[in-house]
Amino acid sequence: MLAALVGAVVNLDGRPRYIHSGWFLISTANLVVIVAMLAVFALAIAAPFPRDRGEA
Amino acid sequence: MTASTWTGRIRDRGVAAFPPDRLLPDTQPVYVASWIYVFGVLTLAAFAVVLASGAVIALAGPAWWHTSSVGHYVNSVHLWGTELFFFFMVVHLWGKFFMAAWRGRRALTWITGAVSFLLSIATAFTGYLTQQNFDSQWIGTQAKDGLNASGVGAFFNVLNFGQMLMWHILLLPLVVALLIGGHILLVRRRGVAPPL
Repeated sequence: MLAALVGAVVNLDGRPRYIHSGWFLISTANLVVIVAMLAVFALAIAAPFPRDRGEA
Repeated sequence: MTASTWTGRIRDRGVAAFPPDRLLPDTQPVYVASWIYVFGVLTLAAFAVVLASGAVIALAGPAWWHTSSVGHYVNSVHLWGTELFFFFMVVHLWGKFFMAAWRGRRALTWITGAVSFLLSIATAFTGYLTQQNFDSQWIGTQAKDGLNASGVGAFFNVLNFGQMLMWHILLLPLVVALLIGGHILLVRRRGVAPPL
């Protein structure tokens, strides 16, 4: 079910897509992963960490 | 008093380096209460999933993982576990780099982590070479010239499927697991690196 939903959004069974500009060439999938890592890194720095209620 | 036997001396040194409350602490410094400190253990959890799914794949064999639906599923767990392993490890690496985590006599902790990362790339690479599909053939034929030029071709032949499989399922995971174990022991010994 989930695979079908994801497949409906992104065709994972076709030819890979690339972003190409001059000397810069990267697959869309790799770029998505790198951007996701940067976003998670920023969130890990900025997001508040849950604390026990007893803590000050 | 120094122990008279070699086993006793090893025990004494082990206990001196890793007292039980340092080896298995039940509290951590207050600065550890941050999401950026979670990614080391997330990397470990993903590594456990990769090892467990890899063990199932190794036991059942290629005819199973290539043809059955459960085999496809476990094979996918192995792949996506690896994706998450690297995802978490890179965020962990960035966090430790920007807090200069080699401070406070933690250079060896940093080095074992960095070498684990590099060897994990080699382990994943040999995994791609043992998929037994056109993708692995393409990767192998593209990589051989570069590796031969580096001088390792005589010992590490990417077109030798049996050799790459053995590197992937035995030699490299064993070294990576030992390095990660040493990395964790060093974290216990020196403590979690404080933020800048």
